[in-house]
Amino acid sequence: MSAKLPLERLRAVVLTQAWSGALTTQLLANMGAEVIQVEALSRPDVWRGGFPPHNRGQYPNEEPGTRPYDRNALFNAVNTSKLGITLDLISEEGKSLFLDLISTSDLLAENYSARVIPNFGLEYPTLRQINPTIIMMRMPSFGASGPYAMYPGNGGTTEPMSGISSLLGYPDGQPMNSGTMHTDAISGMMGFAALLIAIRHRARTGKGQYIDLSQQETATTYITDQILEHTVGGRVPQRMGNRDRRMAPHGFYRCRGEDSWVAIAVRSDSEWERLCEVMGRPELASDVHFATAEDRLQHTEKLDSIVQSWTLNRDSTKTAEVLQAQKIPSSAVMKALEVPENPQHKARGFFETVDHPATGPYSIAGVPFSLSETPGRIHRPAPTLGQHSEAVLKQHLGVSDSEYASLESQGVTGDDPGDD
Amino acid sequence: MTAFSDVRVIDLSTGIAGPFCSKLFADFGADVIKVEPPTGDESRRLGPFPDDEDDPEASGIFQYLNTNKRCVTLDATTPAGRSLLRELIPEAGIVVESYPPEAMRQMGFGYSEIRKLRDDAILVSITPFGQTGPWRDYQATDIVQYAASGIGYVNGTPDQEPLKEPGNQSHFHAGTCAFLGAATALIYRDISGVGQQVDVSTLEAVTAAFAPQLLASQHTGVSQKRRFPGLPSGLLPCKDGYVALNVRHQPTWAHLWLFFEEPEIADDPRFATPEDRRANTAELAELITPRLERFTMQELYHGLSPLRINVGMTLDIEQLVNDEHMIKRGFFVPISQSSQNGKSETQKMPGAPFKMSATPWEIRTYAPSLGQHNSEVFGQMLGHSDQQLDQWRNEDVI
Repeated sequence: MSAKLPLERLRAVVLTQAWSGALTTQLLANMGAEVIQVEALSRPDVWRGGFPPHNRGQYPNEEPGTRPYDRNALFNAVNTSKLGITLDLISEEGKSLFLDLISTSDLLAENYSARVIPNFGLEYPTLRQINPTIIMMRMPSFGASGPYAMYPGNGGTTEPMSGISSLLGYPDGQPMNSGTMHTDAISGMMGFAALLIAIRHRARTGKGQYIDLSQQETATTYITDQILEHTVGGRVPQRMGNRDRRMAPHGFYRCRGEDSWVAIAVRSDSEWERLCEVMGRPELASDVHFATAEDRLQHTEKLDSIVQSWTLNRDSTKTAEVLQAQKIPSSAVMKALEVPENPQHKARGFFETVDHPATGPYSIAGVPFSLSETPGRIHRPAPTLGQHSEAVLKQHLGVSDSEYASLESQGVTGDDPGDD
Repeated sequence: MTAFSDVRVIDLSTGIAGPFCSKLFADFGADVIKVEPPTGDESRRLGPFPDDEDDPEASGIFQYLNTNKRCVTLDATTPAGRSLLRELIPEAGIVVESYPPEAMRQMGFGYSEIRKLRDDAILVSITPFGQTGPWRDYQATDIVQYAASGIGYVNGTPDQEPLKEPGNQSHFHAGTCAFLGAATALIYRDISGVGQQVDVSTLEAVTAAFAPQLLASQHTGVSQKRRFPGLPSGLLPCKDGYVALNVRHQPTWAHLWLFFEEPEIADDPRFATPEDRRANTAELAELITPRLERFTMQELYHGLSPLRINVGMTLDIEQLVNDEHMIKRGFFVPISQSSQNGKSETQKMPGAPFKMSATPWEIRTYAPSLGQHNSEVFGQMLGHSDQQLDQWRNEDVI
């Protein structure tokens, strides 16, 4: 008998939090693994947005409700398909239960700052004594080894440390971070790659292993072409806004309407000629200033003002459609609320709707690779705080009703963080 | 035994995404056969080149993307080339391609044809927008993906145009997602014996990197906007560059002022709590900026990090490559045999994307020259004679 999903025979116990690690283990869960997310009642995942009255987050209709930590968009977006339990790892009972879970699991993933795991006494050699074939992945900002390993970090500091922020910005302006803590998404995806490699290795050899992922390094990997500009080309790449080294015109051009823009990229002379036609300026195609890519790159400012004078009073979506009809790369610069409405996403069903007990239905981006036989999908909404504590501890670890009640009263586990 | 030492991949793709996907297989043990047209992959012409001298065997991005791969040449537009490809595909469990939708089928290599050649084949297709949907034939480059995903709209400042992510990151996102799909399909085939088709849309790969913010905007009913840099969480100027500084927790706020040797400011009621600090960012900037400007990035990084303060240096690419931590972890590795021998010690490329104890990333061979493995693959593996290979060479089939 075959499995219905590629990873459904796997159990993962995870201490992942915020975005990067949570995304890694969300992909794992969406592809079928049983992922048990462990949080502390007193210190839940920071992406839950904290407790009242200091909670801060994006809640449905901006209403935090009595349990805002169950309603925050950020947590609920990156923890679908997981089970959620609470365990106080500082208490003896909590740690012992955690190790019991480790003994019945295939892997552990975490993205704490590197000093946390040693503080909990949960280093790889210890875990391996309990479960010799465990796969353990650590993914701190700067990795689990090296001179900066013990320094704290998050997306806002990993991005400048990866070189990306030095390249993001206007040509005459200061460096900038992205609007998205972009490096978290990179390490989240790459973290799943590392786990898949370890999972297959374990299936072939029966051996577990230890993975040290530095978010700084995975982010740097994504700008390899810029690294090579320096190490091979001998230049230090600079901020160039939306300009490109080979293509012109190339940019976001202002359109009609509030803060409305269209992306246009011209890859070849023939695309330039077609753009001139579309703009109703066929004479520009024979203008010697713009004849070749080299010419156009030399006159980008003039070129950009010509293109923008055409886009300025046009609708961004319609402009992109007109250009795509001529096989010229283009898209409206979409605002967040417009993205799920893209007919391409609608046709492919990329956004999935989940009905969450604390927020009602919401729609989120699904699995970014489509498998014909075993498509990954969102199996259940993100867990509310401690939602599966009782079920997991009783069913997986054989904790009795009275033991559970006692653990709950001591604050070791449960689903109620109390008034603190 | 490595994770993929039993896996062979035929890579028909060009550009960055497909080759990055098959590089992950190759660097963790798979036998990847890169199939190039006899004129060579486009990335052999992309560079950058040492001393800016065009050389198809020295293109930086080609060297990076094709470590541990074998290279054969084959013109799939000719009947002889397609016939060779039909012989090759059954030898591989995974085929990676990045042709426009329908192009493979028109050449006789659609998924159903590939299944006939090898029943449990995994076909990985990478395109800008996927194999289906109204946009499937649309054209894209990196900047188009940052427009359509919505990520571009939130990069940059409110008074200027939105900004794409630098470099060509959308292609790396797509390549990673292709690997994730392919490796998952491989694990499923190990269990079930069943192959499948993996359809990767670059737009979906990039949009997945915006999923939390997209949900947040749905909840608030307002699309996230661009922000000005600076406090509370942007980059701030210091003596020799810019630092990211995030003072979220109460103890770290006090630590910051210990570092500046003005501990009394931590008690200033205007900035007592994180809420106060968020509410008074302009005054806070006036307070902090002149103090930051007394220190270098290194002084701030090594001074504040041990105090549990989230701080980051804005490293440019040269500083990054020479960074002490990167060097100690051995992240950057020589780009080729010649650079390893000291021809140019500065020619380095990113190495292991993550460190794995039992099945480590490794370079067994540097990137192949054009057609380097034609005899090995077409001759030894497929059993064609030297004479036949010569004929194909003369006819520009290989």
